[in-house]
Amino acid sequence: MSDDFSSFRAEFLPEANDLLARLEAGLLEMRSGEASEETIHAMFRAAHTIKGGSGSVLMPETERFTHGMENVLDALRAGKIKAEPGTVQLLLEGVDALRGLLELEGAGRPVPASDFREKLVVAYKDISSGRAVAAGGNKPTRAIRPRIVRVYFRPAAELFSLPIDPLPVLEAVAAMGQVRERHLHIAEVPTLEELDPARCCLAWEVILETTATADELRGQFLMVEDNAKLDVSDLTPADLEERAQRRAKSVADALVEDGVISPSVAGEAARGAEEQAELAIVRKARLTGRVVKEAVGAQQQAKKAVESSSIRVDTIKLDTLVNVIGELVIDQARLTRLATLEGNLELISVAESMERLARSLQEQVLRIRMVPVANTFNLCRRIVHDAGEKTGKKVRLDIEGGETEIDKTVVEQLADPLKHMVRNAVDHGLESPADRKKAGKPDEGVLKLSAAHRDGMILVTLQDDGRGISAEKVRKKAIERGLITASSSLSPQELRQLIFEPGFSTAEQVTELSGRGVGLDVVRRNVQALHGTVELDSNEGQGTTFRVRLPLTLAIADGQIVQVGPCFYVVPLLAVVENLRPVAGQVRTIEGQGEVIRVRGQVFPLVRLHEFFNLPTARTNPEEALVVIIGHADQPYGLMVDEVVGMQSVVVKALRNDLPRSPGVAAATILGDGSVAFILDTRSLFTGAFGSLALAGA
Amino acid sequence: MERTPQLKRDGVRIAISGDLNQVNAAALRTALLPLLSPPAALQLDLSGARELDGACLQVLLAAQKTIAGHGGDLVLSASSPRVQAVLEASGALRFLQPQGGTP
Repeated sequence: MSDDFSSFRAEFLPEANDLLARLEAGLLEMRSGEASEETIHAMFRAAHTIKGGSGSVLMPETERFTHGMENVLDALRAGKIKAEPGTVQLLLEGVDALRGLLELEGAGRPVPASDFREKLVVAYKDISSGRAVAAGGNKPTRAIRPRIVRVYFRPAAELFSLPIDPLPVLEAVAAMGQVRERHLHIAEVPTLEELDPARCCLAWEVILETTATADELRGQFLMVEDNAKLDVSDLTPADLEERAQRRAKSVADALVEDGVISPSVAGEAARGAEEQAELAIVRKARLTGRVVKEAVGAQQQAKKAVESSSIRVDTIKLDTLVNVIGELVIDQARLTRLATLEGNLELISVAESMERLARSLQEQVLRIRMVPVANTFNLCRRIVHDAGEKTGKKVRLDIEGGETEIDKTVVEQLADPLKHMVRNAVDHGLESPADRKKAGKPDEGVLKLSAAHRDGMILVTLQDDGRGISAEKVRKKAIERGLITASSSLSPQELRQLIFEPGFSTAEQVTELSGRGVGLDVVRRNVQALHGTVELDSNEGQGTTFRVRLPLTLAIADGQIVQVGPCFYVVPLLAVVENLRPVAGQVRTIEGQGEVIRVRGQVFPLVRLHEFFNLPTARTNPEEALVVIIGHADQPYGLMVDEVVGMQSVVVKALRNDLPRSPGVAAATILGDGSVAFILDTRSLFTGAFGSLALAGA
Repeated sequence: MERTPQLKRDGVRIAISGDLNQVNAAALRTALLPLLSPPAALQLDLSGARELDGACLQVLLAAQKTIAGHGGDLVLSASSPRVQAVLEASGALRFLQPQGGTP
């Protein structure tokens, strides 16, 4: 669809996305309890501006949807409602929905109806009018989007002698969602002659599509959970596929999967001749031929479904495809530029259409490389179990968002730091059962591992309900280690970030610290190598939360193109805090520290990019240049460039290993005009310029 | 008022009435055992059963295993609405439902 407003929309979209990012950042602050009053006002203004702007450029659905969010934010800033976690979550989900709307309506495309969006609109109306509070608390903490949940319940053997009937519980669980599968496990049921009617040998597995939280589902089992085995876990599409594959493998596997026969019976049956396997199952498991015959039919159907739904592709072929399409996108950008220079309208139109197709193709191919983080998360279950056993701690690991997808390369490289963090959380974050009892906490410590897409990145959160990290103890250790001086005035939050420093990486210190520390410098280094960030929040006595933000893919990066003399560089957008043109006196030289720039009372070291790369430039006066503030958690700094040319998604081209590595350069890319630009490694650029880490305020 | 299970075999059909709950699970087992002799295909009529709980369901499934051990089968021929709902919710219909549909 094309109309007279398309050019206005094109102008509005970057601003809207910027406002949306601010709104999201504010909500994340709010969720962590750090949002100031000004943040809430700023969020309201952002929503208000998006609503007004979208109305003026004819994006009615965006306008209508944002209006609902704006009302909630208005009620929040007026103090009419509280920033309950559920409200913040709904607003964050609204940010995701709004992002989709901006993309569709911004491109002039029709917006399909969405139940999810409508539910949010209704929820916003209820919350802003206070109805949600009256109707049972402004705490819709559950995700509106239904998840697929597996509930496995094996009652205690003595349940029937109590006597308690488990069936009403299963009916209650089934009523909490839509039952996709229901399996009564009878593998352990003996013959009637052997049966002790007082002993329960049954178990159940229910696959449910539900919006209920894991806690709500577990709550149904309160009366029957003593000595029972209960597992409530989210299933990802990959989990479901694995289940389907197991069921498709053979009838014996399918029956084991459904709990109808035990794995040992399946093994015995498999040892027989293939044509006798079914007969062997009938005989050994004492199943009726009818049940096995039906299982054979179901297994064959499952096999057909699995065979027709997927093929295996070598990842090398996929990588080659990604690279070829990357080249295509680059050439396409050149074609568009040349067409524009020619001024040939027809050619421009064709080039633009091809550009859209090429981008779409690229997105689709990158999507093929995306895999759910669930498999990596599930590795942590074993670690939690082992570490719990070793330390004598009772630990529960709750996993959420396992279905969140991320590039295969990123997820593979995430595994090690994540395992390290989880082990650390059990070893050092959680208290012993005795200490937990003293602190009035349940014996069982809880680790929560979750993943979600946020602002074009993946956010992995690891939260524990342990002892937290004492800022004062970190401070003492940091002084002992010479990381800071006694006169350093760091906030508790800043102090806690010091545990990522190499100086904290010895076992001796960890045992003395009431927190964690082993190898967290390695964790940070690994995450940074993936162009990600890691940070932590901690409340003493209440627990610690680590947040790892990673790009969804390493094949494409969002960057800000800057110019220095004749050269162009790409600064990863993730690192950019703001751009500013210094005024007279804002850049100064401090003896022993070199050049610094003062921004709103804060002083940052300054790196002149032309000096760093030894480039000729006419703009040596800071007042004629631009300074990009680079926001690293450990050391923000200013990067002086000639100009900011624009923002662009660039295809990352790895540098050849046989070339000498230059500090400050992470990779390269080819810009739309065919020229090569280096993608900056903002961390090594800083260390290259200053030699070592100089902590702010130290 | 509690009703102990009453069992009656008529040819291949076993009719069970009463309250099939944990209190009566042992009695149900004892009463069922002598009724499980061949012929191979037995039918279970639960239309007179007022309730069915997990313990008695387990007895029925164990009975089916005994019969399957003899090369036979035990399928449901009739049930009261309440019992039918329990069989559905528990996932037991997979084992007791006659081939090709509901009893």
